[in-house]
Amino acid sequence: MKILVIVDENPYSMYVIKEISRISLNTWSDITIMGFIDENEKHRDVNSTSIAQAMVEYLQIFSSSYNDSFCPYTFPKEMHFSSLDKNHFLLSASGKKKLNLVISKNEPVASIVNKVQQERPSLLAIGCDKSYNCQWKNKKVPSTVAQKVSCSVLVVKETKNPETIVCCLDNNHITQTSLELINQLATLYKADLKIVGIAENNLMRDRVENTMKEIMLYYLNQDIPIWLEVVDKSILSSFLNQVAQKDMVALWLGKQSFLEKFISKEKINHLINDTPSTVLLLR
Amino acid sequence: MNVLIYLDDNLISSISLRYICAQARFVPMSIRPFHVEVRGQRHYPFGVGWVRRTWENTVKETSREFIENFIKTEIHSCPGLLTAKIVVGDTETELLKEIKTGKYDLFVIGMLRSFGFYSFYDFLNGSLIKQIKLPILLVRNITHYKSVYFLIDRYTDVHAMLQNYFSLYKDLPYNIFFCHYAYNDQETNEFKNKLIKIKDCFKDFELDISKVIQLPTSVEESAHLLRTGDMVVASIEKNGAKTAITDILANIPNSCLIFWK
Repeated sequence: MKILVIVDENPYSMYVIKEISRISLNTWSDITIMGFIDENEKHRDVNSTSIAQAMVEYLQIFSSSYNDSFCPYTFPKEMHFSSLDKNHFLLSASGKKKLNLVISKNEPVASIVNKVQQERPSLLAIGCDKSYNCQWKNKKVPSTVAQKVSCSVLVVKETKNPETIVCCLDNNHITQTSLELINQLATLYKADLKIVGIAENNLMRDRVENTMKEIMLYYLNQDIPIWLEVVDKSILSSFLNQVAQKDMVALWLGKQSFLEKFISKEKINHLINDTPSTVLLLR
Repeated sequence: MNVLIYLDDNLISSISLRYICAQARFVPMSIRPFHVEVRGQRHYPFGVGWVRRTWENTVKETSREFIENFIKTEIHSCPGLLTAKIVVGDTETELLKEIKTGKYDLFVIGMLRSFGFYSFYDFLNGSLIKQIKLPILLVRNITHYKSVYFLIDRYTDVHAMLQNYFSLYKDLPYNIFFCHYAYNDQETNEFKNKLIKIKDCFKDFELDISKVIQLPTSVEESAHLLRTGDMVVASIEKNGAKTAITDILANIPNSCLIFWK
């Protein structure tokens, strides 16, 4: 699994790093951690910028999670970013698996979209704080990125672990990667898994029902308890609003997805920006 | 135990069949799958002439093939599973007819939990429930927990409930927990006194008095707590009146065994 983690200097980014380090303990993922130099600090030496200092601290936190376990990364003795080109700087902790810290001087959203196109990660993880409407320095970086990239996105908000991961399912194609990602998160949070089929006029399409059954059997074969539930599309919005107060919302969004028709971009932005729930967009 | 299970070839039938077959590994039972093929052609009454009868038989046989294939693909072995009975007609009418003529102890039907939980009350208020006397096992999800939660409040006749349960499930080797819902603090205190009185009743069934859980006043929280039971057993009124007990049953994601008061 390839994970791209986007960070800034705020506490939620530290929390994202802790979560990703826990996932990587199980998955030995290839990880890129990416941060951006603040406009005011662009003329300073990269290693003295606040983002470089924060990222060095994140790397130390990351390495400390491997105290007693075999570590697939090699943490350098000198935490020093070196220049890749005039706008990018690298600190590598790669070993058997890749762990790169990249600092960019470019505009965040475009750079992140480019990075996703280059690296094709399975997951992009980004943190934000609901009290600031999930904004990064007054810009809606997390929600904009979540809408623009082609990979799955995890927007992590509160430090409270969700009790249930609620996965909304329509007639979209379900990938093995997305199921494994959900497994990882369910294990990480010790959360219940709930698969919600979207019905239209209280009837579920055969394809949705078949997919629900396949998912149910997949998890039952792995001894992972799973709950199935149905929600009619007419009350989907109120359902998501309720769920987003305490559980983690996972939505499969893809080319064949009719969830994209039911849940507008504004609704997804609302879930990301205005609710306390961690949101997982699966693609 | 003679069990009647209603099956279609859909997801919830798959869940309910797997669920009852898991119980059949512990509890001796004969399970009769039952399917009603809804009338496709309304302009001729069924079975009124040899031409119609032929058509009816064809529909029935096609349907039988469907359901038997469904059962075969769903489950490799299910102790006590009988051949499916297929009829053509109106679902509720045919189900009632079968329940009345067959000697069944339990009716099993699947129902996925739905947000807003109106379907649960629609089900309770439906004509099928109004006329049915059998206890119903409403299957919602496949669970592998080893406990059964008895959902009780101050109106519950605990002794009758235990008697009904053990007449069906005396061989089910699961732990039994009593989960008491109190509508207010006064009831919580009253229940403490009531507990002493029903202690003897517990002894009759060799149950440990300590296995009593006081549920929180929030229906949603209670339902969340109860989800770790393989099934929740409750005794409710047939008129479908909303109570905390029915609200909890509507909210739980796991299966419930319903006895009628």
